[in-house]
Amino acid sequence: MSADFESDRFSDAIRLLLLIAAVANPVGTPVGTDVPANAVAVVHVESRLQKLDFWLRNPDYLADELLNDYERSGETILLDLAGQILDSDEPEVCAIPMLRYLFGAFEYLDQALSVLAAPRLVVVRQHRSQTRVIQDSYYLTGKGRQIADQATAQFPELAWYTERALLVRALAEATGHTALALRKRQYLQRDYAQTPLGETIPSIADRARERLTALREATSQGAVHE
Amino acid sequence: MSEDLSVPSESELHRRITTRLGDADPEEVTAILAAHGLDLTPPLPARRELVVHRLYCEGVKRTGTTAKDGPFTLDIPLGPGPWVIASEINSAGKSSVLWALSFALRGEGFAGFRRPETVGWFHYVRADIEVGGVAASVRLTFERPGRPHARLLSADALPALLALEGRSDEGPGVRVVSEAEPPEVEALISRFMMDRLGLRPISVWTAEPGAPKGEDGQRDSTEQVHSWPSFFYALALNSANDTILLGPTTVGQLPVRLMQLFLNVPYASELTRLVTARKAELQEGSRIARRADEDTRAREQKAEPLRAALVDAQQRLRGLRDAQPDITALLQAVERAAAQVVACQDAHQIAAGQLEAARKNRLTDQRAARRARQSSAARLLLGALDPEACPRCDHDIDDARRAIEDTDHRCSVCANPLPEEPDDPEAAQAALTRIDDRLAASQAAETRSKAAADQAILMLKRARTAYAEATAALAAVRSGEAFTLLEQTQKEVSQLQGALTLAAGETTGVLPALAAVLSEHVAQPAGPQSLTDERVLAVATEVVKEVVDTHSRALFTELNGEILSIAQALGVTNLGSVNLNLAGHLNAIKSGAKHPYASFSPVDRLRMRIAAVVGMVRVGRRRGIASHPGLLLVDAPTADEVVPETARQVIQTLYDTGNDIPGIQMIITSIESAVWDIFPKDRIVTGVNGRELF
Repeated sequence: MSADFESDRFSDAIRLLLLIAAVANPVGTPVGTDVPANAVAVVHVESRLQKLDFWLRNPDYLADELLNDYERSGETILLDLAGQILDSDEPEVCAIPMLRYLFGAFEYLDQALSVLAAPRLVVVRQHRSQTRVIQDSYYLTGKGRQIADQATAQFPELAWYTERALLVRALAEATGHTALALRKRQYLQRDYAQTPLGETIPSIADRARERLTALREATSQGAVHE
Repeated sequence: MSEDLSVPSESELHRRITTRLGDADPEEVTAILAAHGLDLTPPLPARRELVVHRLYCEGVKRTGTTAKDGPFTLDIPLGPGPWVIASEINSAGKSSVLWALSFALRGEGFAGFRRPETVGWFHYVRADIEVGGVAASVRLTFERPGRPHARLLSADALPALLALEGRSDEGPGVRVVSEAEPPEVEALISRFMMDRLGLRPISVWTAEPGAPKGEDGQRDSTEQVHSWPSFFYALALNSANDTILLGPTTVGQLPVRLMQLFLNVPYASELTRLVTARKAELQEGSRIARRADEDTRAREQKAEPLRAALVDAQQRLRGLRDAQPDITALLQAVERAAAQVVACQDAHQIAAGQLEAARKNRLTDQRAARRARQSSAARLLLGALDPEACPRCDHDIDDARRAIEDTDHRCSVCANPLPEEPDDPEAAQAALTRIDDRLAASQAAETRSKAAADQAILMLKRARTAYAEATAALAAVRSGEAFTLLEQTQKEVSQLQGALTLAAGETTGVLPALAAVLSEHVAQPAGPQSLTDERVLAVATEVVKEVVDTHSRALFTELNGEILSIAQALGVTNLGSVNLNLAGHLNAIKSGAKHPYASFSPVDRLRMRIAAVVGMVRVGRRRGIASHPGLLLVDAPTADEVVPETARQVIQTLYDTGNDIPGIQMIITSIESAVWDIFPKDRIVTGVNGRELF
């Protein structure tokens, strides 16, 4: 077994499978002609998947975004969720550092996706114009759903991805979540140009923890935003 | 006389005093005696003689009942020898005439002769006298009853004065010597008589009424000076109720002093003045001591609150000083605490660094463990799946190609040889176990580091607290408030000490300036000089008293015989003996028993008095010494005498006395019929038909 788990394609593949399983929408009935056989759900647009994956892989950025949202809305649940992440070792233990958002990242995603595509857990369909890909669609097959469910049920380390993916999707798309208002947040529309440049996007856990402390103090003193 | 009655000279007395003092310097002794106004010169011979030659009175009689009221004039020629102012009736004015004469001779009417109703009748009294051989005329003009204006005339010879008519005061050789207004009349006459008769005042010592008693139980006393008005009691005799042999009082043994005076006992007067001076000296000393005592007590009382305040302030000062730790120790304590903080900070930094490193290790291990499990799970889930389609072109992978993987060990998708991957589950599990073990080890290390870091934090916190306390203690000591309080209290103590020194008058160990102030307030204790004064006076008194006592005893012994014979002649019955002593007691034996003077009847007391005075005159004449002036004014010597024979005997004795003793002038008043037989007519002063004199 390789010690370099960062480049472990099976790990990336299973994370992507669980993410797709969590955020994909049912293909619906009647099934369209372009929908692969055995497909049960679909996720359109690669960039969206990339952005969801970013929150999944970087709990410190997710917590920082939750604090931003708390500053604007004053919803205590957001401060509590950020607190749960930052008070734990999640940012250090669960983070999967990724390259800066560059087009080259696709290859990496493709490599992981190929692990899912070969046994037909996910089927990728590309809608092309004459010259370039307009949109990718990621279809989850029944077999993919079964493997994802099995992974969530059997391995706690993997179940964490499903839970976190569902939370992120609920935040971004207002799909409903315990104690969360059904409000669509703008996370997915935000660009990553503001994130520090470099080969690896660095952790902002320390900075986020400082913000958390300051906001908690302000809240306890009654300076709650509404 | 076996006793030595020679009179020692002044130098002899000084020699005796100096000898008895032992180591005294004669000059110093003389100086001390002189400083007290004491000169011990022996008495010079004096012509102690008083003779009345004429009594002239004017007045207005106002009885309000008889036809005799109106102006009157009395002009009585007198001289040496016996005289009687006689009448056959009472209230004829006999005593009043004696009173008028006594006024002129004494400067104040003699109380024993005074008849209140007649005092206001006298408007003018003139007495022509010879005093010590000098002719004089006393002129009293009464503008108010008993309050005369006095004029003293003198002349070269008596006849020039006697020749003057009535109130006339101008004549050949007559001159006005002195004049006095009412308050000074007594002093003028007294001075004149004392000078002329060579008499010196007698000082006696009288306790002050209500004066505090000293430690010796003696009250403070004042000096009473007796002069002519008191001496006059040896000239004017009456049958009064008082029980004093001679003089107005027994205080200070005045009767004895008067007898010594008229017996011319040498240094008798000087002795009284010595006693007085010594008593004054002692009394002044004891007064100073008492005042010093009282001052000390008052100062102590005044100082008491100060003392209490000082004790309180000193106590507070001690408390403040005790509460002020050594600043060096405080500085050292702060330094030590600071060093401890630095050490703890270093230790804490190291512990924190170690904790951080341990945490990072643990996080790395935890992350690795998580990834390993994820990877393991992913491989378990995905690695065993058969490929169904090409990820590139999505074409199905058929069974034939899948079989190649098993048979030829080539990829069913790309047909390349499969990598030689040992698929050893045990090795994989062993790898996971190693990772878990490493995580457990790093977790334990983090726990240990955490405990060490917590301990370091605790130590640092304690060190910081200790530092804060040390700096606070130093700041408290250095704070202005505490320092000011200490200074204020110190100042308070100093002020109270100064005030207490002043109030209590304690001069030992004080600043020179303060001692100088105190020396002005505090009475200095009696110095050696006054002690010497006291000793000199004491010894001088002793020496002089011996002379006085010796002479007195000798003269009194002689006088006793005279008194006894004269008293018997004057009709004092059953008188066995008298023994006059130096305390003034007559010690009479009457009817074989002791008979105090106070127990004699009033008339016998008068006769004893006459006997004493006449005795003194006789002793003096016999010894050839100036003694009694020779004038006797005796009012009613036979009053209350019921036996006519006795009365006659008394009158006869008095007449004989006045006749026989040279230099005696005896003027008596009497209503006895015997006087008409015994006294020649020219020696009888009386009114018409033996009735009112005026």
